[in-house]
Amino acid sequence: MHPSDEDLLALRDGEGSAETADHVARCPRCASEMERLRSVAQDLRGLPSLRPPSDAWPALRLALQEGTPKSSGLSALGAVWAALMVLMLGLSFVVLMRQPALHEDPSAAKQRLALREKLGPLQARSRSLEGALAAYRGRQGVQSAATAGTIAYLEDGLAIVDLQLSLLKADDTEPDKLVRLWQERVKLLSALVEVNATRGAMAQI
Amino acid sequence: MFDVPDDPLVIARARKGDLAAMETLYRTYEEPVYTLGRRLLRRPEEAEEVLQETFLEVLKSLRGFRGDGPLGFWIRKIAVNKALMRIRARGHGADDTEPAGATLSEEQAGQPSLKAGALLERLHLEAAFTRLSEVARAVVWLHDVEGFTHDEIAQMMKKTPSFSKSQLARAHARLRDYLTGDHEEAPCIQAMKTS
Repeated sequence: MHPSDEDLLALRDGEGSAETADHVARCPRCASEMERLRSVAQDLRGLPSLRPPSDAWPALRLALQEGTPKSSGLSALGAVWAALMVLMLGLSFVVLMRQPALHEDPSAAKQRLALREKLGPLQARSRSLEGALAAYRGRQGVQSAATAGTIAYLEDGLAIVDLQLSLLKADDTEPDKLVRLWQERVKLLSALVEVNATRGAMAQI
Repeated sequence: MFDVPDDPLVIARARKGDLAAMETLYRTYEEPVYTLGRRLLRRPEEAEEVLQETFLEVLKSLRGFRGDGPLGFWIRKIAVNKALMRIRARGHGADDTEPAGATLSEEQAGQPSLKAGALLERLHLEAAFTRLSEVARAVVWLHDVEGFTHDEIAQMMKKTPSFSKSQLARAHARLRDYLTGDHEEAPCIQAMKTS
């Protein structure tokens, strides 16, 4: 009678009985099965490691800095991260929108207005691109390594820009930097949408 | 994957709250932790959540790391527990064996230039492994790949060593069926064979 799978696995792991070992030594079928079990374990160990699809570090860093209680997950942290960003951007927007105080320098007021005019379209474009991207993200699909690499690269860039934007305080007087970051954000989002659109079109061929 | 040599200076700095050191630790282990999550859990989003939860715990409780063993093994233990908690929450009785017809994941499809035969074999194995129930996957991966003993697996899964042994045997029997063609083959594999 042939040994069970459990007996063979125990033997493979160096814990088998002498009786099983003796049987396997004489039975080509069981010897072959033993070899197969070894081979499966070896092949599983040889499977490639997988890279997380998005960079979780910025959200993790934020949680660590703020001593946030343990999150239920990346999506929840992502939501907190997004909410904080929206809040901070909103605050800066409110500051920019405020009418200049009576004692405010007229030239400063003019600069605020100019900044608002520059940021408004960029923020609107950013929102629109994010909407398009969300639609693509909802679709599951196969993609090449090159495409996955490009998307990962662009998303990494986006995370860095978002981090920099979130670190700019609402009262920071760095309008050029703010505009540059928003321009960069729009550029990265456009590229991401384009890559996803191409990927979708290729999938239909 | 977890047996990276420890850098005591980085660990010491991270313990003191140095964010750069913490990021170094995160970058060192993000792939092993995510891979472990992906192998044990069916949904990729859950693997991301395990990654996040694991590092939140690791980096916040680094002072509690006594250094008895390598840091990577401590991180792995935390990640395994996070993943197993999710599997336990779903209940061991649920048969979540994937039906034939699963498609290749993006990672599977995106793997670079292996020779066709080796690629097909590897995809075959990945597809077969993916079709096992989460409990079976966890036992096979923890025992055959990560090297945990049945006693350790039993302790982590709050089961007996016999449970771990029988799960391993049943999982290998299923894998044998899937790999030797005694099953309905996934369409992606059929397509690759005919192309």
